[in-house]
Order: sequence, then structure tokens, then C-alpha cells
Amino acid sequence: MEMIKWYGSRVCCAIFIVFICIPQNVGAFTLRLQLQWTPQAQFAGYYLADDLGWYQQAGLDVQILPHGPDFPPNQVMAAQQADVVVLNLSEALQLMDAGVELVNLQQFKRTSSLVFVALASSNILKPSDLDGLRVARWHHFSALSEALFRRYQINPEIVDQGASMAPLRSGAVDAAMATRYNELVQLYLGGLDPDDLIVFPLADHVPSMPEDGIYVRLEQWRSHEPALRQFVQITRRAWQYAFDHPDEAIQAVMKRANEAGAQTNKGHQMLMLSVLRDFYLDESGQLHDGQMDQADFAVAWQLLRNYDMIKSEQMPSYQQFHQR
Amino acid sequence: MLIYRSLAVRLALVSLVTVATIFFISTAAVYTIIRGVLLEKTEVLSRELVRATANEILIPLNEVVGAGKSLSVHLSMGAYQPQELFPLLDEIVRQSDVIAGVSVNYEPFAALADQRYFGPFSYRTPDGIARMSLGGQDFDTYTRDWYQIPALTAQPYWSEPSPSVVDPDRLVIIYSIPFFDSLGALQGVISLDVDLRDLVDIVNNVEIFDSGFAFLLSPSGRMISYPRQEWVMRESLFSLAQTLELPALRQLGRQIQRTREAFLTMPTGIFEQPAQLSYLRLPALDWTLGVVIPERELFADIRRVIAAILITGSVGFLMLLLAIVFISRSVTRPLKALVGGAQEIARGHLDRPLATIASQDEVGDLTRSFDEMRRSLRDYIQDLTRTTAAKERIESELEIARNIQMSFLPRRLTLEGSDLPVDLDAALLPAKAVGGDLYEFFWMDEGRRLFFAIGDVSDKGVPAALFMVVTKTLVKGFADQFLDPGEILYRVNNELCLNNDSGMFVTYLCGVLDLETGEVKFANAGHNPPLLARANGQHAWLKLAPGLVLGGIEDMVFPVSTVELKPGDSLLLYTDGVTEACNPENELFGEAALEATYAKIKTSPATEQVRAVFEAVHLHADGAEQSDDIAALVLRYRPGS
Repeated sequence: MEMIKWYGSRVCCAIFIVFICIPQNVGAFTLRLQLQWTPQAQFAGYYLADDLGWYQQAGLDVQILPHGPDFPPNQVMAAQQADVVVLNLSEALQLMDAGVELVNLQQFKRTSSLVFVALASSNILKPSDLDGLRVARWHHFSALSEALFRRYQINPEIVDQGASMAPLRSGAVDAAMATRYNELVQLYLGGLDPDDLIVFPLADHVPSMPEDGIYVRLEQWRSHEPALRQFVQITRRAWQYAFDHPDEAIQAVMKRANEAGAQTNKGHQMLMLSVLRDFYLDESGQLHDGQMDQADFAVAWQLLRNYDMIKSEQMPSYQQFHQR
Repeated sequence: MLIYRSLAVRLALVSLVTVATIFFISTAAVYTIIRGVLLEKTEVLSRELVRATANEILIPLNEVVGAGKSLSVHLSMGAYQPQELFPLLDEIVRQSDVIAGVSVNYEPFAALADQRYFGPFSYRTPDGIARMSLGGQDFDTYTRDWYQIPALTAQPYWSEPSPSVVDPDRLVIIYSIPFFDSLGALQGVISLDVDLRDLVDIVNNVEIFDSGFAFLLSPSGRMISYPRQEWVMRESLFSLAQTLELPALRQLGRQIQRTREAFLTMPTGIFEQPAQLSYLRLPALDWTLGVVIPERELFADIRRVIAAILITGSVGFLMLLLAIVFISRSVTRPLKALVGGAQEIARGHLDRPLATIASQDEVGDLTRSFDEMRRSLRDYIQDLTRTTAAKERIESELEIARNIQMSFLPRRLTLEGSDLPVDLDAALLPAKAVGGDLYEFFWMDEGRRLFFAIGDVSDKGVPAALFMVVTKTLVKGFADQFLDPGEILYRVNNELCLNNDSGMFVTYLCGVLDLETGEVKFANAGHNPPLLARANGQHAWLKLAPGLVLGGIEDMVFPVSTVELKPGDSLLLYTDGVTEACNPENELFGEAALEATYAKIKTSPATEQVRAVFEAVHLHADGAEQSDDIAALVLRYRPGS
């Protein structure tokens, strides 16, 4: 999951990836896929497409690279050690700001799943109640939290947030960031009922920040467009299949999680997948079209620019950025 | 419809059902009581076990806490310079069996002005103590729970288990405690690692029965120690509740998070077998130590006791059943024999004696009484048969006697060569088969005179009939010699008085009618006066000179009364059976009623009159038994002229 990225050059790691990937770069075009977090239902579609042999049947050689907090996709991409990455729009825009020309091929989650969560016992009822309180937030999503604080003209004590929700539960912080599909599920599976929590979805209060898009470098798109189009098509089909066959999808997720030694469980992954449905599917249960709205793109860029998380003053071209 | 069931079956059924009900209720009560006692004891024992185990866990942890606090105090006092810490940290690790590693992590740039991260860390390796520095771009100390939470709360903190920084395959828990400068500003956080395995081993070594076990849960319900290895560090009570769809398990998890200590029955569905759970939340750590005791084992002793009770009870039942069958058989066997005997008696076989019963009980008494009844019945029927035979013989003889007696009475009055100057009829209805009443009429004096009489012997039946025959024979005999009725009666009386040992007598009224003149000479021996109806329509009781009964006293004289009959006159002679006939209310018919009846019929033919008198008497009697012979004689003199 995207929550904790240890920003900075993970040199050792990068070398390691280069080392294992080079021998496979010979021959046919190989798609190296970098996912954002440890194996979980957030990536069920990719696992299924691979496990069902759909990529292979289409003549695609897709390699799902080891993934987890030690392999931040933006860094892997910057080091050109992956061909396809799954990123949030904010990360993608920051990567482009750093000089990596990216193309968005698919936008699965068109809105943000981020929330602020507090314990119901804290008597925080609305965002403005956070004023003066200790609020944890993920550093790379600080633009969104800042936007929220500015909108309600509040001034909380901001704390950098780590990977766990223990600071919230222990009372070290009054509120913390969470995603709907992971941390909220984690809290629920830690014994907290929905009634025990107060949740402010960021999308209700600040501009939306699309999550989980498929990105490739521009030059890769130019040279391998047909194969990449096929990759996106198959991945879409696999996601639809995952939502239609959740048991099979969770089985694939648990297999990868166990291989990676991730300490998760079926209950957690089932709930995660069911939360993702709301983001991926339209009312009829079909995947939505995967388009990124131009206005969303512009608002997101402006937001990051406003909080100085982007240095360039020139907004990238939407037409070049979003390829369909 | 009720189904016929023998006494034995009913007795067995009722007794067994009653005994079984009592037995099962008492067994259930025993079970419930023992179960309650066992549960109470188990609660005490399991609580002690949990507390002892908790202490076992807490003792080494207290050493860690002590070391952490001591170091925190020293650092706050500025006793050590940051760069001089490693030897101290090495020593802490070396001297402890529990502490697997210790680090002192300073706030950004607090140790060295140019260094954001400063975290000397000494840790145990199989080869001795090793050193490293924590913190860096790939390891952000400040967002780790073990740093952030004590830093923010200014309180010590025990982290949830996580992989060790130096060996990801090894899980550690970290005790972390903040330290401050003299002004109270946060300087950094001390962390001490404890190998989770050491703690888990304590819990895994807890033994409760064969299949009981202990477990450890983290504050979020995660399984730190549990018999199912695939769940350890992966599943929590809540994730299992989600996957296995057991809302009760989620409730249990929330209860455990909210209460410090409890002993309770596990909600059904979580384990295959019912189980008891005892748990305690460890202070500071906030972990939950629990002990699960399967009821199957816990209550194994009760089940043995109950099984023994049930087996002995069943044997007892069997014996009781046999006893009941035996007793009821011994009761019903003679009863069945008795039923057979009674059926024989009902068919009339009274000669077959009932099976003899030796038993001195109610059934024996009943059988003996029944046999006595049979014998009495048999004797009675034998007597009855004899008596009936005798009676039948007597009755047939009486019938013959009656026929003979009736044949003595004259039937019809006839006269050769000319029309009858009289209309006469008489009838007799004896009270028994043979009677003591009599009537008589015959011609005298070669048809010039008519003798007629009516009489009543003092008794009824055969003796009276014989006496009557004697009287009649005597009268007939003397009437051949004498024409005077007084003379006749005088002689008859003397004859009857001879050897009259029986003391019987007869009232007798006789008359001799001169057919030419209509003159009647009456002689009366104590008999009722006759009724006389004159042709002119008058009627009256005829007053005659009285005389004594025949057979009473010898040499009695019977005076003669003379009455002149005119043509058309009519006489009615009767015995006292007419006037003394009784109805069911014991009221006599009486002379007045006879006279009234006579008034209506006195002009009718003789046969009609006799019939009417009998009918009137019969009507009056109204079904009452006839107590005396009834006789009547009607004589009409020249009725046609």
C-alpha cells in the first residue's frame, strides 16, 4: 500500500533489481510490473491475469517484480528498473516533475480513498474539531491534508505518520490518515466497530486525487504501444474477473502474500476487495471506463503546486499524459 | 378407545415410568450440581494458572522495564555523552538473559548538530554482542511506533511484535521509554528488544489437561501464541470472526479488549467442542493471556459418574422390571385361573372345583370365597332341582285332583220329557288347584222336587276338597232317603262328626224346591244368607232360621225355613269368597257391593248372573291374589211365565 514510502534513493535495492532483471531483457519485449505495496487485494487483478495465464496467452511476458515498502515504484521507475508501475496521481506528477516523462494508460480509482480517522471517544465530530489537536498524516499526502486544514482554517499539530495505526489506538495522536480499503479494515479487524470511529473522507472536503493508475514511460509507450494496450485490456478483464470471482481472487492474493511472508489474513483481504469494488465498478457491477478526468488532472497538479510539492511552473500536457 | 392392558403391564408401566422420572431428575440434579462445583473449581484453578503464567511472563519483562527506566534516568541526568554509549549498551545486553538488544535514539539533530539520525544499537548475536546505528533514509526511526508513541505520550510503551531490524525472521517486542533534558524537553527514546520466542515458550509450555491450551493475544486481538501455527501473527480474533463468519467471536474479542479478567463459556461455533475460557490482560503490555479448557475433559469425571449412575440405574431398572413382572404374575396367575373358573361357572359347570390357592393373601381369600360361592350355588341349584321336581309332581297330582273335584260338581240341570221350570246355573273358582267350596243340585222325588245347595269347607286345598267330597256324598246319600233338608243336614252332621279328628267343618245352605207349588224348604248350616229377587222387582237378603256348621257338634238340629217362590222370582246363593274378596288395598268386596251388583243383574238369565258376579269380584280384586274359593249359584223359578 502506498502509505509509507521511504523516500530517498534505495541504492542497494535498485542494484539488486537491475541485477535480477538484466538477463531477462534479452529477446522479446518484457514488461516489468512494479506494484506499490506488499501483496494484497489491491493488486488482485494483476495476480489473476498472471495466474490464469492471460498475459502469456496474449504473447506478453509480464514479470511482476517483488513489491512492498522496500520497492517504492516511483524510485524503481526513476531508475528505469520497471516498465509498468502502479502509482497515485500525486506520485506520478511528482515523478514527472523530477523529469521522468510518464503516460497514464488506465485510471482504476478515480477518487481518493483517503480519510482522516479518530476514535469516537475523542468527541471529534467535524474536521474543524481537529484544530489544535495532534494529527498524523503521511508525508507524501501532505498536500491533501494541508488543503483540508486550510479549507477549515485550522492549525493542528502535525505528526509524520508511519505504517501502523498504533499511535491512534494508543492515544499518541488524536487523528490519523487511513485508506478505506486497508487501514480502516485493519482497525475493524483490530476490534473497533464502525461506531467506535469518526471518519472524514478527504474526497468529501478537498479536490479528489485519483489513485492506482497504470503508468509507463513515454518512450516505452511510443515504442510498444500495441503490447501495452493489450496489457491494459487484459488487466481490465482480470479485474472484472476478480470482482466476479472474489474467492478465486483472494486465493491468488493469499498465495502471493504467503510467498512474500506478509502477515495478513483472508478476512482482511476479503474486506479490502469488497471496499475496492466501490472504486473500480460502476452501479451495474462493471469496471468503469478507466478514464482520468482532465479537470481532476489539472486540480491535482495545482494542489501539489500550491504546496510546493512540484517545482515546475508548467503543467504537463494532459493529452500527452493520458493515453487511451 | 382404551386398549386392553393386563394388570401386569400396567403395573410395570406405571412403576417404571415413575421410578425412571425420579431417577432421571435426580441424575440431572446430580449432574448440574457436580458441574457447577467443577466449574467453580476450574474457575479458581484456571485463574491461578493464568496469573501464575502471567507472572512468569512479567518477571523477565520487569527486568527489561527496570533496565530501561534506569537508563532513562541516567540519560536525563546527562550521565553519558551520546558518543560514549556503545560500551554501556553492550554491557546491558551482556548482563541480561532477556534483553536481546538496546538502543538510544536521539531526536533529530539532538545528539549531533549535523546528524538527523543518531541511534547506537547493541544487540546479541550467536557470536557475541554486535553494534549498529539505527535510523537513516531507509529506516525512519521517528515514524516507528516504538519511537513515536513514547515520544508523543512521554510514557513507556510496549510495541506489538515485529520482525527484528537485524534479523527479519526473528520477532521481537520492544520496550521503549523516552528521556528528557534538564528542562524537560524530549531528547530521545530508549528501546529494548525482547525475543518474542522466549515469551511464547512460556505460554506454549502451559499444560491444561490433554487438549487444553494457553494463548496470547496482542492488544488488537492478534494471535501472538496459539496452537495453530498458521494463525500465529497472521490472524486476529476479529479476522477469524470475519472469515469464519462468527459474529460471536468478534463479540468475545471486544469483550476481552474491554475487561481485565474473566472466566466464561466460549460461544458456540468457535471450537468444535464446548470449552471454558479464562483470561487476564497483562498490565502495561496490554496483552491478553488466555487458557482454554475443553468441557469434554473438564467434565470427563462427571460423565464417568453419570455413566456409572446410569449403568447401575439400568441394572436396577432391569431388576425392578423382573420383580414387578414376578409379583404381578403371582397376583394375576390365580386371578386368571379364577377368571377361567368364573367362566366355567357362567357356562353352568358348577361341579368343577376351582384351582386351590395356597397363598395367604387377598387373592387367596378371593379364590376361596369364590369356590365357596360355587359350592353354595351348586347345592342350591341341586335343592332347587329337587324341589321343583317335587312341586311339579304335586301340581300335576293337584290338577288331577281338581279335575276329579270338578267332575263331582253337577254340570247341567236337565229334565226328561218336559220343559224346565227353573233356570239354574252355578260356578266355582277355587283359590288353589282344588277348593273347599261346593255347590249341588239334583232332582228329588222323581223329578217333582229340586235339591240345590252351596257350601264352604273351613279350609282350602286337598283336605278341604276331600271333606267336601265326603259332605257331598253324604248329602246325596241322605237326600235319597229323606225329603226334609233339616233331616238331611242332621244326619250328615252326625256322620261328619264321627272321627272328625282334623276338626274340619263346612257351612252349608240347602233348599228343596217343590216345582209344582214353588215352595222352597231351606236348611242353613252357618252359611251366608242368599239374595232373593221377586218378580215384582223387589229384592232382599233372605232371612233364614240359623243353624250350626256341619261337622262341629253331634246331634244338632237344623231348623227348616219355608219360602214361597212365585214365577219369575230368582235366588242367588254364594260363598264368602265373593263378599270377602280383597283388592290390593285389602278392601273387602262386601255385601253392599254384591247387593248393588245383584240389583243390576237380577232379571238376567242364570248363566249371565253367575258370570256377572264373578266379573264384579274380578274387577274389585284388580289383580290381587285370590285368597278364598269363590262359588255362586243362581236359581230362577219359572222365569218364562
